[in-house]
Amino acid sequence: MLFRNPSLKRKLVGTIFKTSLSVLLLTCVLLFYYEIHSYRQATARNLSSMADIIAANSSAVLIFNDQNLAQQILAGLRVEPEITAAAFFDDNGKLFAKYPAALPDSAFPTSPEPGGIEIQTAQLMLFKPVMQGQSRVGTLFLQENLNLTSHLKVYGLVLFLILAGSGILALFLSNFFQRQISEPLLSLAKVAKTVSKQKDYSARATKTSDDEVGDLTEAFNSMLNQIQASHSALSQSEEKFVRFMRHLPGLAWIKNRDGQYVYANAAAQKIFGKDAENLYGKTDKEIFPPKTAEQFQRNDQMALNSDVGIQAIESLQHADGSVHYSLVSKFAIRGAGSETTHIGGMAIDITERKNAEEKLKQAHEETLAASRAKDDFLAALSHELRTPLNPVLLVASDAANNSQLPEQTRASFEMIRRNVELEARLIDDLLDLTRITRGKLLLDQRPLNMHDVLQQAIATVRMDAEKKQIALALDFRADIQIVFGDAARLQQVFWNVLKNAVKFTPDGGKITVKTFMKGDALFIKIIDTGIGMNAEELGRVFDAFAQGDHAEGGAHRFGGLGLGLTISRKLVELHSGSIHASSEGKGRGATFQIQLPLAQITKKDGTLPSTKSPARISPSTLSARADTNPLRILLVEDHEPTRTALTHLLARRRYEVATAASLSEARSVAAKENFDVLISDIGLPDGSGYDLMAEFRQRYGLKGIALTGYGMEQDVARSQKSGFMAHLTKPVRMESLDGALAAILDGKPNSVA
Amino acid sequence: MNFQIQREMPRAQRAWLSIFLFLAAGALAFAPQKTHAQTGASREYQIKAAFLFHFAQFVEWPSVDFTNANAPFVIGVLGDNPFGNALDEIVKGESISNRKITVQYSRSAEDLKNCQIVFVSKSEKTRLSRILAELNRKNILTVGECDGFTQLGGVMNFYLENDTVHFEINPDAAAREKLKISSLLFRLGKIVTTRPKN
Repeated sequence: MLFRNPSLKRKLVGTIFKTSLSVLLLTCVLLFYYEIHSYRQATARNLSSMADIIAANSSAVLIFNDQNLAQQILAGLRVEPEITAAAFFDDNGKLFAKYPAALPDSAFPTSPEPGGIEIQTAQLMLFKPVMQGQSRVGTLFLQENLNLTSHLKVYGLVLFLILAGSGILALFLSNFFQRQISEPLLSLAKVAKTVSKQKDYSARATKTSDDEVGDLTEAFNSMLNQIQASHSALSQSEEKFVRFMRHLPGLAWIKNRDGQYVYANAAAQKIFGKDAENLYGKTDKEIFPPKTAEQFQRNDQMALNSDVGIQAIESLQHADGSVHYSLVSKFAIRGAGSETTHIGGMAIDITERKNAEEKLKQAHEETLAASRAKDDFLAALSHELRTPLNPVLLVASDAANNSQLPEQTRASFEMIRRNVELEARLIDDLLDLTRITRGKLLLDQRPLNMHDVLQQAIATVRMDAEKKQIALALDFRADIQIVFGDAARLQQVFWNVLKNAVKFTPDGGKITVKTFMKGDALFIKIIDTGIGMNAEELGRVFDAFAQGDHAEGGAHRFGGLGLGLTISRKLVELHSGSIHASSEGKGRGATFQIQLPLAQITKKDGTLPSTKSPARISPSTLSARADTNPLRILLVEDHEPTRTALTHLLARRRYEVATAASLSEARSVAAKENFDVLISDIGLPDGSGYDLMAEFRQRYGLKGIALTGYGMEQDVARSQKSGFMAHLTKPVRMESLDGALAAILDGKPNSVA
Repeated sequence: MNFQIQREMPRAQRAWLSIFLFLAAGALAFAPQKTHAQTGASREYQIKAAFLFHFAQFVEWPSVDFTNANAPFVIGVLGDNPFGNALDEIVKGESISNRKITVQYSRSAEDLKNCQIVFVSKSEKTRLSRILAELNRKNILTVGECDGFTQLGGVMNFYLENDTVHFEINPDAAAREKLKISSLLFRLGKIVTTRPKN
């Protein structure tokens, strides 16, 4: 019972016991010393009063010198065993009588002290003057053995008994009284133990007192309330979490730092093919094939090293053998000390999505391949379509300019040339549209005088207009006409619009070309008195292959594929400009307005020096030049009619011309003779003209002109890259070739004709 | 602790004290002879003179005995003076109950009726009865030195034993003279009663 609950009870009992015992001990020691003191004092007082009595009765003895009586008086001290010696000294200080009589004189003081009591450790010595009246008649001497030891022995024994008794009493009393303190605490501890062992947060301690222990009990209970509340909230939250996870279609799991699964939801257990019992505590290595486990662990490691977690795609072979892909999110779960305690993971099966993406990608690639094939086909088509036109145009254009021929013949050649060019134009439009649509058209932009460009465009339609007796009125009012643009393309735009105007304006009509400035823009208006357009036609006038209702009845009447305006709009837009068509209705003419941004060139008159058309070089000028220093030209062309026509035409211009029909032939010719210029087709039977150009430029330092049916942008770019200084697209007008050759002679490249 | 003994003294003072004590001891040694020579009294009578003085200290007299407050305490010596001037020397300057002590010598008891103590000398041996009768009931402490003095009605009487002076006391006589004798004296003295006259 005493030490059943050792710590607290024992401590309390011990404390009380020790305290009382210490106090008791101290009391005893004090008592002991006090007793010694008071015993001495009492003894001294006792002795003193005894001395008083004896002295009072002894004066006569001394006065009357009665030694016998003196000894008798002293002998009376026999009844006081503690008095070991006594004596009278007479008024002269001589020993007068002594007790015990047997004691030698030497045992007594030789002379009396004046009076008083001397307390020594073991004995008391007293001198008492014996007075008669005022005079001292002698001295009484008393010596008493204090006998302290025997006295204190008894006293000590009593004290010890008291101490022992008190100690035992204190022990029992403390054991009794400590319950007041220990029992509430022990019952509190018992409740606390119950709570912690059985997790029973509904337990409460009973408050038994209003003291601090009572306060502690209340605080403990209120803590339990809070714990119970938060515990039930926590278990509710956990229940929610578990239910949530159970119905989550995706996979979710938690691993500890050692990679062992501590949680996996139902979906994960199903996919992993393990129930909780077989999964928890196991690592990936124990569950999955080595490669899969490695993949998982690698991503786990990355997630551990990341503050925000990672996303990855992992593959897993399912129990049925099919390989599935999952989008996985992995993240470190950190504890209170911010060190990672777990790794969380979630995954959704994206196998179907991935397969769909795969299919889509494949389809896209197929589409791209098809598109490339189409481009290739178009390029080949354009090449094949142009090739036969090439010798015709070369010869016709040369003959039309040949002043030695009769006028009638030259006109016929001119007609041939125009129609060949129209044919080539149609092919070019097709290619241009393809290029523009695919965003592959490159502009050679530079500051241009728009009035000049317009004049050149007008010149190309002037003849047609005159034929139909259409009046061409020019009204150029723009003070500044400088536009940053590609001359050939803008000329193409104007030509398209003008050509349309001429085409749809009946004989005797009128076409007005106006320019004016408004803000930072240059406006060009081309107004005709043609058949006009209704609203619906206006809406699709710029769409490809649309020429309006009038085209239905007779496409042949107007000719063309209707690509011109579509291309024009795209080209204008490429120049950051715009093109509008307007008409007041059928038969009331049409107006096309082109707006182009003015270049930021501040020149006072706002004009540039007029650019001369590079094509307009007369053969006579060329001939003169060739006479003095005949150029040696190697012509590589596999199309025999073109080769023959070109050879003839170049020879007539006094150039020395050697021909080859293939790469190998060209190489053997070049090995025998020296040449200045290479004019080469690109598509050759045993290779490409690009390779030939690169080779000859490196080996012989030749300059070159590409002469080809491939007119696409990338062809031009590749041509420049391989070293050609000019790229002429078939069919080639002789004037273009003359210009390119002249440019080579001047040492200036002329990349595009 | 009431130590009244002064144990410590400066060395020089102690030396002087030693010398003084030596001289004093010498003086005391010669004192009896000198006193004897000067007083003309034997040692016996010197003692008896001292005893007479000391008796006064142990006896109370009735207050009516004195004529007035300043009246001296008188010790009478009847008959031959055996003390010489020893008694005078002893009482010189002494007093009993604030009364000066004087000594009166006479050969007539009549003269000494007002004394408080009357010493009856040996010379009056033959007239003791008549003297005692005369001094009877006069509140006088009569002290004799002849055998039978107290038996005759004297209050106290000296006697010699082994050459030492002793005394007898007759308490009846003391009571008759209305003297209160201290018990201390009774312890010292031999008690004697008055012998009835035949």
